[in-house]
Amino acid sequence: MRSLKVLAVLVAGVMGVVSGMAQTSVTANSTAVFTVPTLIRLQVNVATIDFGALTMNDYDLGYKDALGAQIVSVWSNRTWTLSVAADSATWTGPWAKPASDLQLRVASVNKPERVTDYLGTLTGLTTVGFVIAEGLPAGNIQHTMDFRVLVDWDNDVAGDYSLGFTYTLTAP
Amino acid sequence: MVSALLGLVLLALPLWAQDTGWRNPSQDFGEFAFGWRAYSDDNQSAIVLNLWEVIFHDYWGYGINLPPGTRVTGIEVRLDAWHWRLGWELESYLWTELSWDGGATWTSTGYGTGRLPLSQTTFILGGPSDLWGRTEWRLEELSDPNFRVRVFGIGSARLDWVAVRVYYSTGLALEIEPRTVNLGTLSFADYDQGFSERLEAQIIGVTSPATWTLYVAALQASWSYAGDLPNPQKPCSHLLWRVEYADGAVTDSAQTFTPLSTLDRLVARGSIGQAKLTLSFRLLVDYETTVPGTYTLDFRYTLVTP
Repeated sequence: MRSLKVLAVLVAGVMGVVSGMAQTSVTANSTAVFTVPTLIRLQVNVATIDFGALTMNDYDLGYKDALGAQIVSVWSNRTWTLSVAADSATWTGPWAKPASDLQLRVASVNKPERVTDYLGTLTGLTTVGFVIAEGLPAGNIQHTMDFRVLVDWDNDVAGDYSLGFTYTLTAP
Repeated sequence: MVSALLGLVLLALPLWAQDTGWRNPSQDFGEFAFGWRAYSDDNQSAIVLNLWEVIFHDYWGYGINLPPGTRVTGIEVRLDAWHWRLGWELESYLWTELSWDGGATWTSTGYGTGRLPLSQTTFILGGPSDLWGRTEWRLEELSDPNFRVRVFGIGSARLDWVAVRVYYSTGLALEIEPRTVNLGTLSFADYDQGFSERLEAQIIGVTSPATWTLYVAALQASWSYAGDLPNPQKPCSHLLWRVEYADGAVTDSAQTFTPLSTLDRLVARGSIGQAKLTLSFRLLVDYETTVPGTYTLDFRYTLVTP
């Protein structure tokens, strides 16, 4: 009888452990994943910079400006470089007017905190090209562009002139 | 003597599983002759007789009533059967499928006896952890008249008993499917929109014998980053979640997008029983913290009963 009581106490003790161990919380882990490829996008608001018909005043001045004539917008999710180059060494027209007679610069940017450097002085185009802005990852960075065409009485005879040039956005 | 008894009790502790015992059907319909004779383990048997085509017979009315908060872990079907020799050599086979909606739909997983022997033999189909191809069985799906057993047969056979035994757990359970929420590969549309969403991306199953609360928390403050750029330290709060649908024993749930935090956030609360939560996720996307690479974030659900 005594040994039976001892056994009962022991079993009760074990059952106490059982109820004490009853789960009051459980956990389950989960994981979220995603992948980001390199994404870059370049847009211009107008494709043609039209200087219109030049006047004698333009000849006397030696140039004609088209200020803020174009907005170049950049989207990139990594650091980026924006460059520009003339499509040919000379304009098409009555004479071989050099591409460098078209100058451009970045007049302003809308997100200066995301643009680490930009070309603020008028620079003549070349077929080799040059960097006009560099920046950090960002979306819709707008570069407002100024243009200047150089003219002189000696060479720029009457006629229609055109020069193609190309912007290139790279994200190394 | 005492130590031997203690060993047995402790061994049983981690299992937490119980079963209904073998349950008899009480209704039947189909192509077997005297189908009702297979209701119980006795000396009467239904007759399966078609030498050329498969015939079937449905059994239901098993009276399975599991307590709320129970999670079904497995189902077994017992067939006591044998080949009925009619004087020429033939083979007989039986196999089974289960229905959870009164016979409208049947499990894609089924089990058979193989070639029946000439003497009565017990076949146990399924098992304690076998859900017959389904991810879960809700309690109402086991109740009458939803739960049914379909027995297919060909040849000439006798069927003494079509019994069912359900294994279940009464403990707290939390199940997640899928474990990994893949938010995919981002595009410019995601950057333009500022976020990427995966609606109804994860289902959480809760089984609780008491009122419960479910929390979620990130295991790290920022996403792990693998790529060729400096780690942008994308914060865990850029992953937002919400409960899209709540079924079953849910009393309230967070139905607006909530940022993940390293602190526990309330996902839902509920009462005793089973519940299913469908979660959607939104990833905030910006150019500063979402540079090219692969990102991973671990988070944890915690189910608590008071």
